[in-house]
Amino acid sequence: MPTSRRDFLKAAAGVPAVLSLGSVAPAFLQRAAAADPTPGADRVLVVVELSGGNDGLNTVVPYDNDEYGRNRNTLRMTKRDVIPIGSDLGLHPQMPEMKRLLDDGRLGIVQGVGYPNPHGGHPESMRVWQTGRLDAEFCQTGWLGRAVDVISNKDATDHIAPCRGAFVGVFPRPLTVNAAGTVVPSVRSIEDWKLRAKAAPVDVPQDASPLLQEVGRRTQSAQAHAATVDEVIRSGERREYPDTPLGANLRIMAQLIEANVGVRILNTDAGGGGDIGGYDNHAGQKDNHAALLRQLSQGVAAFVDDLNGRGLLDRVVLITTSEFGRTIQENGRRGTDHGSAAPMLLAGGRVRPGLIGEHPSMTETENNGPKHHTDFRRVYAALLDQWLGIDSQVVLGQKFEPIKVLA
Amino acid sequence: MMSRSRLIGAALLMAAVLTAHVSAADDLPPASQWLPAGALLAVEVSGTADVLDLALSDGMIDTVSAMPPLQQKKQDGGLDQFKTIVGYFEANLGTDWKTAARTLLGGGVTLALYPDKTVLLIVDSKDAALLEELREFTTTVAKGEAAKKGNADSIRSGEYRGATGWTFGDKEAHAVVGNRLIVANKSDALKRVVDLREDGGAALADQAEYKAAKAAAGPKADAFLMVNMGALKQVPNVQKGLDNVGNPVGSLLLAGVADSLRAANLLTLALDVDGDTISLAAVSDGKVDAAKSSVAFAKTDGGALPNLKVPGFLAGFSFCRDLHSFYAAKDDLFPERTGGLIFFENMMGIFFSGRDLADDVLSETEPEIRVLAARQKYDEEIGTPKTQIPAFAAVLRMKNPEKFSLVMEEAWQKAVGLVNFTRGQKAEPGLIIDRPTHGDTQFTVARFAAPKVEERTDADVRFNFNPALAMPDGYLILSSTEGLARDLIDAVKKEASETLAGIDEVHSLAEVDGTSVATILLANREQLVRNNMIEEGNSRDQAEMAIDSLVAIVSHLGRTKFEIRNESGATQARFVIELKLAAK
Amino acid sequence: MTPSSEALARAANDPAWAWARYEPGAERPWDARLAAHLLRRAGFGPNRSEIDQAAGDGPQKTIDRLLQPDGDPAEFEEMFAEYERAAEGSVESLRAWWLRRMIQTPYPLLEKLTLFWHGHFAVSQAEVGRAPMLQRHVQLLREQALGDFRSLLKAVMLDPATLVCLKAEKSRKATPPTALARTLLARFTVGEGNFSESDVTETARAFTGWFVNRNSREFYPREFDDGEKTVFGKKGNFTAEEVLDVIADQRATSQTIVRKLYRQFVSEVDEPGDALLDTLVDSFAKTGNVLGTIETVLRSNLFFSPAAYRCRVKSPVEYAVGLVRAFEGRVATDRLGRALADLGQGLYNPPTSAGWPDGLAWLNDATVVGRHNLAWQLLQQPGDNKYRLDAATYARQHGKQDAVAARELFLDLLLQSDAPDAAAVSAAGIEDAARLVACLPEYQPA
Repeated sequence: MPTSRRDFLKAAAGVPAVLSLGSVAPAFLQRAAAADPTPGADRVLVVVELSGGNDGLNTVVPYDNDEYGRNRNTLRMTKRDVIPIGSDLGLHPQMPEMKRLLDDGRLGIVQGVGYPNPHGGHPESMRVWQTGRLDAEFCQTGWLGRAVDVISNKDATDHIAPCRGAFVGVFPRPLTVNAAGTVVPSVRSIEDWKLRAKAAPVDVPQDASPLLQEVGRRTQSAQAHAATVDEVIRSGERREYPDTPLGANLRIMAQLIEANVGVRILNTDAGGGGDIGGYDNHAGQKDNHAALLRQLSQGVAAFVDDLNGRGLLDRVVLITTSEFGRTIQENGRRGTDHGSAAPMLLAGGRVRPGLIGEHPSMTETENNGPKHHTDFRRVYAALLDQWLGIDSQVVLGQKFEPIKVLA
Repeated sequence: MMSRSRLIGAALLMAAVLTAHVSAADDLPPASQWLPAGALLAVEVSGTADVLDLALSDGMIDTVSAMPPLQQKKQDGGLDQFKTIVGYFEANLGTDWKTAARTLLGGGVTLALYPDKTVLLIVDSKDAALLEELREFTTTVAKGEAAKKGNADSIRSGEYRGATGWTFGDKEAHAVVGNRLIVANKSDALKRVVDLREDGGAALADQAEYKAAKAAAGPKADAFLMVNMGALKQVPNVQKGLDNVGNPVGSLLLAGVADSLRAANLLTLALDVDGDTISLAAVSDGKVDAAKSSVAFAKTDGGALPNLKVPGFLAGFSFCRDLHSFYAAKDDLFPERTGGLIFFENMMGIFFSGRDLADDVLSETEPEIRVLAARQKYDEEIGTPKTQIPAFAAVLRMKNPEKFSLVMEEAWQKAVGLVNFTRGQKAEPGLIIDRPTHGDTQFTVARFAAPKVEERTDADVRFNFNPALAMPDGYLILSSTEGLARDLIDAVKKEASETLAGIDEVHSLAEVDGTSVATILLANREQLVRNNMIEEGNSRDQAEMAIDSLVAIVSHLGRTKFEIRNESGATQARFVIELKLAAK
Repeated sequence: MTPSSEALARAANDPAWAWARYEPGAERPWDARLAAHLLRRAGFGPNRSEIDQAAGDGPQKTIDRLLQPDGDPAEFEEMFAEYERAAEGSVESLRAWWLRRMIQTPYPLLEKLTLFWHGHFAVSQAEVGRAPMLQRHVQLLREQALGDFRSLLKAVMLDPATLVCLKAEKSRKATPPTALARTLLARFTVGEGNFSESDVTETARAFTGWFVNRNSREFYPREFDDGEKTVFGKKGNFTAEEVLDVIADQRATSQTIVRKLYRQFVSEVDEPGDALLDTLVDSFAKTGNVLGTIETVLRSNLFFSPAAYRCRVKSPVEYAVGLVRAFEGRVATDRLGRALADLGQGLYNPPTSAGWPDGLAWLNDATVVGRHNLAWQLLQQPGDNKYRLDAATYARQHGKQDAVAARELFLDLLLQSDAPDAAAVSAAGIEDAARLVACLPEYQPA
């Protein structure tokens, strides 16, 4: 499999019109090429946040469960409604694409995820999931932001400076990607990554100060990577993505992954961003939730199919997060309120497929929702340690026993 | 002194502006018979006299010269330059510019644009001699200019089938036939006009769209524009642009306008100038399948009600819409779920205690919906806020007032409670609910406690709001201020005492009182100037100029009216501006 | 050894030389390069006439004027303070006005230091949210930016915005604000490694009793822990103000501030040894005088030596405001504020209490492309109507009609003679030349 560094070399060599290699180039390129011997250094983690609090019980539905049936009046789904996936569980009927991914071994579902003494409010609980810390109030960086810092710190010693993480979407950047030491950009359009006008070739004299030489290298790298992204954009039609904001954002991510410019961490929000996420269905949940899950299922499937078609799926794991699941009991407004545990979805070529862990108990509850049995930070830890190859303890502040989520 | 090339430009422009009534032109067939068929777009100005009467009226000239940018130009001498050119022009043609304009344009102006980007313009002068003088004058100027630069002039002329054509360069060609000036952007196109004149053939006058547009505009129109939508839609960007129109609010408000344009083969715009009143009517022949379009929610049986009259009226919008079926169809119309929509539904769920928004709430309202804005008078107890926001209100009618008014009252008070709760969380002052009486109507209002005396000159923005709910005689009034609510109670009581009559077939009506809007803009001038500075990057002087110009333009708009009607599936829009020009 | 490390080594061996007043001489003549260097560091970058004037006036007179501008800036300050107060409710407008201040200010050093303290105390929109509170906070920084550090520290630490940002809105006796105390010690004063856990908890006790209610602070004596505290070995029934005196008395506090000022004004490249900074730390510890310390730095041999020259990376704000000032154009600063947030420097919103990461952290693939594209937007021809930097007109006004002359003009304006024959720019027409100069690696260091 090509490494990102080698692709960069190819890209740099392939665009003489845009980039003439200056006098600093040979040493720089040598070092860049040597800097990337680690297998898996081109792996990417994509985190899709379902802001608002996704109703896990109507995503992976325990249709046969008495508690479920008794507590849900208008929102109840029966065996006939759902797409059965075994263990007396079924997927929401608007998620046939997810079923296909499950059958193809490209989707894993971690059940019953949450954290101890869960918060009942959006900002508080979101902050816990976004920082990856229970003392989130005092934590100003996001778990992905810290992961970007760790990777970038290593880059600094290797004298390279790719952009390691990005938020994709038009909403304000969430805390998730806030980093103390690295600028994590918001990518609203893939065009943001392109040069709007022809760049001048970098030509820093050899006797220039080390600072200037380093700036020259970074300028050269940025120009080369921008040219690579431009090639990907111009390489023609991509597989169809659904015409939704999530579809557009996933498409941008696929383009960045294909360009292989060193981005390791990508984050987006499928709930519409802002203070109130679209998954927060307190009233008239049925149609709204169905539409959201349809968009999610179609978007993720398009993303997986696109990457798979290009032989890139083994480089990518996509996960969903959400600040909480919802109450077992439907409220008087044909909606549900803030609960606790919910499933996390994982998609990619190397995820452990199928159901992971038991469906949470419907009688043991917290915040009137199913009680969690798996700490979400165990999933984070697995992805940090085993997928991104960085020390989860550094990122999460303590050690968690990783869940087996990778194949 | 202005450069020669600009002088030529100005002269040509005048020549173009100045051509349209009939003198010796009586013996020439209408311009539309000399222009080839197949136009994408055609403009025909026949009533140049009416248009020029307004454009050249003392009121208009005084108004325009009083605009801040022109005042500025006057100060820095820019206006003198222009006057020099005009003087030069007048001296050479031996007539004043207004008369020249009336004469040269007096016979009418016709312009056509073709798919191959050919543009043809025909101007009919009332005086062939003056036209010839103008042509010679511009030629002389162009020659002089070239000589001054030491270049050979690029003026060429040639004969083609008995007509003489001239060109100043490869971007333009023109010919004069009698009192008619023909201008083309390519010399081939000019030849096509001559061919058509000599040989006959399909002319613009024969083009079906032209005929339909002329008929739709009617004989009274001073000018009309024909847009061949069928051909224009072949242009990919136009098609794409039309496809992209539409978001939930937009499609509810514009109800099928975009759909109609998508379906249209012809769009006609007819202009009528009558004194200081300008009317613009747009007619599209696009029939819309009501079942698949938001036009379905625009009801025209009964029609929109006239706007309510209140003191300080700024703007009013009156619609006739079936909100219930609109919202019930939201899944098909707007498949996206935004955080905003979910928040709205969650809140409505709380306010209306779990009632279904479409089936149990919106279905309780009649289709006549009115929204209006008015200037507000500030209570002395409150003082004047530093940013002045007009009062605004929505007025609906309820189907079952006895039952629904209680539901509404409860919902409204819950909303006030929620606002208070949220403001309280942010340590901001809240609203206090009161139930005052106006005439025989008891209504509900929520007010912020009066500010401290020392804050009254520069009160907080919140003092623009004291929301009120009133439900007299089956009406539902939701107002941002108590004052407007009281005025509206009077207005609807008056309306209820008369026969309620909608405007036939009109489903949307907007009226704006430019003069009142200008006073509001003026009241907020400082804030607008500051916003302009950071939003446009202007200096303080530039920002003041921009805002003052805006205020000046708006203040002259007088009362402006826009209405959309739907007649058996075809959409018609009408835009009327009553200009308020400088008083003599 | 590079020239900069050589110069630093000389300074380390001879601190007296390093901080002695720079006198132009054969070794280091006063020229446009050094004039522009001074104006970049003490402000937001010069325009042509400012460089010329400074080059003619010589260093001392120029520094005098930077420390205390001719004329009274009070009118300007009051006008903008009023603009900002009226821009209530929106951090975006506050940002826009601040950028406009930086572009137009008659007192650039004051704005530079206001931004410096904003980065130091790092109160952020993300944590505070309320625009009026943030406006008052930055105004407070501005009022005391060049004065006495101790008084600034006290004002900031009891400012409502700081208390909210550091989760100390309700500091009850039973729940002392340890996060605030830890940040105060680790970030604002003595620095990591120079305090104990008990210093944190004891300092926190001194801050009890302070609450933020309705956007202003209040002191409730019943919630104040008036018992004895021990902080850095000093015992007393300290109040917040008293404990800040104890902390400000620590030499480590002066070291932290002086080191940070060094990084801001002298160099991000090499870490200076303690010995080199001792003179500055001594006098700062004694007087707490910010302006005086800056004056010593700006007048010094070291400041005008290769150890400082182009030894910092321009922050996004310095980069963009510098361009706008150089070309004497006007830009819509609300849009510019958003663009700069994308490049990593959202004013009123530093990422964490540690402030913005600086130096090379400003430059990665995305932000370098972002700078290139911002330069293009600012300087494209015909210009965006929100961004009006018209390089071609600028060249004409300076009598440069052809591309060769215009290129020289731009290189001289933006880089003085630091990239005399930049091949990158050599083929460009007037329209492109200014943008390409702004994209040169040479233009990124301050």
